[in-house]
Amino acid sequence: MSRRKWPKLALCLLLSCLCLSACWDQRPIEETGLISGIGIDKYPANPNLLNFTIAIPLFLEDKREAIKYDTLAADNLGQAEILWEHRNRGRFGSGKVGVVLFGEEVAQQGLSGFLDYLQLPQADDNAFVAVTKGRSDEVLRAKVPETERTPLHLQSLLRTAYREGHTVKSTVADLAMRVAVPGFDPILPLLQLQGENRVSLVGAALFQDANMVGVLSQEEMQLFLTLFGKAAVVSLVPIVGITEQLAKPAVEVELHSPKVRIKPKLVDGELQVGIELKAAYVLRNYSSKVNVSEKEPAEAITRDIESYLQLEFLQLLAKLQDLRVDPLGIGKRFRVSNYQQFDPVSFREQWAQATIDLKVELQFVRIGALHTTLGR
Amino acid sequence: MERTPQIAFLLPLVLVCWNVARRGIVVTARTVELINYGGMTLIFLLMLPILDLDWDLVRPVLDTGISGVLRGIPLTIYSISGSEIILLVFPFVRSKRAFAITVAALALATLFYMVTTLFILGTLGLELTVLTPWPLQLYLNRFAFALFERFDVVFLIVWAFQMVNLISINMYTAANCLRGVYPRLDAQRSALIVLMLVLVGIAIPARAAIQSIIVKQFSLAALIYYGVLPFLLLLVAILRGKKGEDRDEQKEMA
Repeated sequence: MSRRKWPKLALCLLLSCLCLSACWDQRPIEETGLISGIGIDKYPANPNLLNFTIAIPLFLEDKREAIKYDTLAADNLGQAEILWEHRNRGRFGSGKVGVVLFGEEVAQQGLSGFLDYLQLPQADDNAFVAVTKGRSDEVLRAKVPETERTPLHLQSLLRTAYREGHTVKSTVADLAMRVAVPGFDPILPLLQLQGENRVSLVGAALFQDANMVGVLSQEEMQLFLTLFGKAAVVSLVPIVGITEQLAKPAVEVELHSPKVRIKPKLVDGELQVGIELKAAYVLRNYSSKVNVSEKEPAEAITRDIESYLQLEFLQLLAKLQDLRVDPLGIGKRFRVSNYQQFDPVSFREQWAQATIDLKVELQFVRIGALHTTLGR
Repeated sequence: MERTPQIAFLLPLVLVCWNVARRGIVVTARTVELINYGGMTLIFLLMLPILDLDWDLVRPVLDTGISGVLRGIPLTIYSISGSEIILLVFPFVRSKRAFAITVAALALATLFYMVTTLFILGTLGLELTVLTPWPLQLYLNRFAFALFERFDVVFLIVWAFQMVNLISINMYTAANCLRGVYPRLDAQRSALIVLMLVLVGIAIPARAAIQSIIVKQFSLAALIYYGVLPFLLLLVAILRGKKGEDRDEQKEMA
């Protein structure tokens, strides 16, 4: 073969190969159901089955938004997927799942119908998981004024709440980690349908392994986030005055960058948990006759807030101990230094009996505009 | 797509790689270099601690003490980073520079392996890492959340390019070896013979059972070959009764 023919032949061969790799098969995007939300409830007629509400956004003409809901009764998510594909003659596209909601009843029964399928990509790892008060399909089908596509609204609601420090990060991947790793209990945001078209964050659901056992209110959740050390800003703690410096109980405090050290240790077979919390705070709202720009009243107020917060934290921790749940990861910290003694089952009892040594240290930061009430 | 035959994917890839390998060492080296810039960037990017780690999740691994970790080191060195290449290749190569480069590359690979393992354990926890079939994918998904969406696709693209690298290097080596065995063959023909063999290989439909049988046979053959080869060479050297002379080319290389 002469040298001149080589490039032409190679080019022809390459082009024919490239043609070979085109269009053997097609997967039209219209036939792929880009699932945006999954709601999981108990099936009313049969307690062994779960009710899956699957939301798919529709793409209509004139850029109109719409959403379609399918309700399927199945044992678990994998079965629901097969049933859905059978009914809709399309593929179950799980990569765009934005939010997975559990009804309260299902969460109390356990998340197993969902968690069995964590090893397979049935829901996107970065999808948000939340628990709803009542049934989840009511929340998923709520007609919110912002958009027709409620799941996307719920997703952005949860994401914004996490970024602004109102709730914990609760993606599918985080849930999987907290369920799989011993010494950790999951905690998920709690959503509630208020009225007909308003969904709001009302607190958090506490889990023992995969079963929901209790609820934290949103105020308790702010305190919990401070102990978690994750939230940069924790705000709006209403203060009841202990000394006369706080004459009126209308004080709002913003805690900045809380630093928490949790040290569990075993003393004579009993668990002792030392918790140190250090934070700087800003008075957001304050109405009293003292001048807080002076040093002494400011320090007195700081001591007041410290003692108030200490009481609140101890109440919160006592609640967690009563429920025998450990969302703070105390077991995980305990396991690090006492690997041989740690047993995830008996640790719950140890944690319930544990003595807690809590220290709160606050520092007053004088920044921003402060409304003094001297003139009154 | 399920109905696309595998040859439609593999043929363009193989032809491109073959075309690179056919043109000799310089072209192959340049291609590898170009692709490796992307690969190295990804390696250094993945070694940045972008996700916040929980060291408490890593520390229980040390429950058996430092000695438990030390016991794992030889296994890691030989099975994962590929240090055995030094034992296999460098008896035949006398070049300090090549040796230094190989050691540096192996060190980087080991470091990358160690750092990503720590990161994965630190973000996922030991228990979930053991449960999941592909922990790196789970880690990359979280990475995507922190950096930008579909970061795992970037990883897969770089991975595919590394395959292009590997195929071209292997094809070049195979063609060169053919010429070494049969000195009368010219470069074009030896390359063509390699192409034919590869084409036959990709025409066989890939089934997991067949693949595993082939992999088992080949690895056994390779193990025996590499295990026996030094002794064979030693035997040849003894039979010939010569100590071996340093040739000028080898001195230049070193």
